[in-house]
Amino acid sequence: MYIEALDLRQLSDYKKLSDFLVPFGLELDLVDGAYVLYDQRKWVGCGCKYRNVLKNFAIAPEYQSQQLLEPLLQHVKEEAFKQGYLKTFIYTPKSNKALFESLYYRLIVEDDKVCLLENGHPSFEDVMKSYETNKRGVTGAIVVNANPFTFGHQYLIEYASSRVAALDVFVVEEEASLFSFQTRMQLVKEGVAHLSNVTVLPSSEYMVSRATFPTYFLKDEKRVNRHHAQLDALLFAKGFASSRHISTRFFGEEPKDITTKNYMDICAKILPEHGCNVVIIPRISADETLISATTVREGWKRKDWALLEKLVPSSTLAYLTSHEYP
Amino acid sequence: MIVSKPAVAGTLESNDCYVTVLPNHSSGIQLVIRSIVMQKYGHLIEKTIREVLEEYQIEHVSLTLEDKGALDFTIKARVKTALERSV
Repeated sequence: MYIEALDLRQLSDYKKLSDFLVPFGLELDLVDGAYVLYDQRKWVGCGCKYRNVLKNFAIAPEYQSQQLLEPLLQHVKEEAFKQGYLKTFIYTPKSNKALFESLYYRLIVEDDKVCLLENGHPSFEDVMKSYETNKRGVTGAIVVNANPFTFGHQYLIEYASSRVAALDVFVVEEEASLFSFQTRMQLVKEGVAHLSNVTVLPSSEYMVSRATFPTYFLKDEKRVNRHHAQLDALLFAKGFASSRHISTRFFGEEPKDITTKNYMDICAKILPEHGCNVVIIPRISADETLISATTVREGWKRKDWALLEKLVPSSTLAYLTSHEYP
Repeated sequence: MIVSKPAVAGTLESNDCYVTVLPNHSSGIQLVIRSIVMQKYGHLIEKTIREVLEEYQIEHVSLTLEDKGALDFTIKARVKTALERSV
């Protein structure tokens, strides 16, 4: 028996993999590596990954007693390791939990059906420890992607900060946006510099990341998985809310994007069950234009400075005028 | 010797172990040991790892060993291999 990488650019191989997964109830979505376990030339099993998320592990029924998951899993994990990922995640139905735990994957969070496990450095506990802080009175939190930072974000943060003693603003770290994380972070910091009770923090990969919430980044509302959203909400309650003593999470009302709206609905249900209130703040408009980062990106592309002036604070505007639309 | 890049060695098959070493430049020796026989043999596994680290004169490393019932010569071999790969 041997393991070999599949060339995903070959349509026939891609099709074969996709067909192999069907009887296991697995659907091939975003993968950047696929590995096949062969007996002679027969497909016996497979495992895939996308960055540091391991997925789609399957072993043919007649081979399942032979402890073949171990070499396959280690192989895929080491491929990720070679690419510089010191930690890997597995998102799997709860029925497989014990199997992966026996290979030293550790449970981080689970709901009624699925669970998220990890192996490597730094662990969930270590990362949450690095967020720890003293009690600062009533503390709120808000999570923004800020792609880029607008008057809308500024209003939300000002509103939230006026209602709590301390406010943590988490900026989504995942690089899936037009503006890089570094730029988004910098523009948020500049845009809230006048608020003394606000702390701007990176989100880490335990909040709205490709690991904890993969379907959020597929931009296909039908694919957004309720379980992904639930696990993300639970990670927030279990990790961030407890490390930083957060008792209220604020959201900006979402009129357009269904993905975000569904996520908010799930947070509004789950977070209060874990002692964290949810407050949804209505959006503001500039004249008749609803302020959204999408409108800003379109305006930037057209170099519509008159429009942008109404939508973004001077710090963001300075960045937009001094950089070309990519 | 100085551990200068992440490296791994071993498997998680029965009677083997999987060793991960990561550079750390000032935090001393940090060991994490996970084993199915932790209660009974954890201290011996640790002793074996420390002997190898001493032999290689390593002062700073983060080492994780996930054990599936490896004997001490297996542990030594896996730790040595991971260290050799980390240079």
